[in-house]
Amino acid sequence: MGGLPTKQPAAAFAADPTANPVMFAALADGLWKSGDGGQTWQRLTSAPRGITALTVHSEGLVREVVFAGTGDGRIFRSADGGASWEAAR
Amino acid sequence: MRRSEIGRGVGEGRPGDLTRLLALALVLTIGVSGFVADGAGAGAPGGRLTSLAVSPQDGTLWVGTAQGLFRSGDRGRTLVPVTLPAKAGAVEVTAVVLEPRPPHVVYVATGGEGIFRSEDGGKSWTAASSGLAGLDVRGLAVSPTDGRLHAQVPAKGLFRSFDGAMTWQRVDNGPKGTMYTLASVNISTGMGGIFLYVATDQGLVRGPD
Repeated sequence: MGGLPTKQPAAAFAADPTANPVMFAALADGLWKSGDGGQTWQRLTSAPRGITALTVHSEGLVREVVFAGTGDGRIFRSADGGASWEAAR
Repeated sequence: MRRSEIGRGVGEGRPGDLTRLLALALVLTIGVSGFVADGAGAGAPGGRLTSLAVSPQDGTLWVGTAQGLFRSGDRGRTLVPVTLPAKAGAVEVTAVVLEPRPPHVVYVATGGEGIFRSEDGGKSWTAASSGLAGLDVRGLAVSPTDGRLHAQVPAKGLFRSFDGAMTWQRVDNGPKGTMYTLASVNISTGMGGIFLYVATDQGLVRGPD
């Protein structure tokens, strides 16, 4: 899992159901993403902190819609693969 | 404008001014964010979020929390509690997964009451823990290709089901550490196949299905 600090505690993980899916992993230092089936990973600097739940799915032509939940019960949504986020509640 | 001026302007104005001011604030909120989030900034009623899943059928967002299961039809803005046939009132939900293919069965793992499944979008639930060595389930994954399920029971091991959670068979001890997420992932490069990705307090690990 190239570039991913896998020894950090991981609080959540999500992958879409396609082959070689986009993946998201919530680690101690933030949210990480892989767009090539886990071969390489990049940290998403604008993601919410304290993520404890993740899911990724498609909405029509938008392939990477991500929901993130936190330890204090908040829900965030990204419609651009994790680049930007809005609070759902 | 100084703070005192703001206070005097609102306080000494006509009663209708305050109403118009609030209406203006509402319009600005809609204009900036695109929606009015009735619960914006508030935590979920169940506390810590443990799992999220979206129905490929109707877009329903399923929300697992430390104190129960919820669903949302408006992308998480409002959460509606979902009653599971659990002995405890507000059971801890540790995982929610949906079968990717129709009929998109919903599976819910709990910390103490095993696994439940629903074939009608959550209207009715049946217990689905036959063969599990315990009812404290900490991870649940559904294969994106054939619907097989995996579940982790702490200190008992990793279990697998080929019949939609009707029966479970033990596989092995499963990964070490406290499990937060268990996911089944389709990787077609290299050797190819279905792999289990596991988020634990000791890191993110990957293993064969």
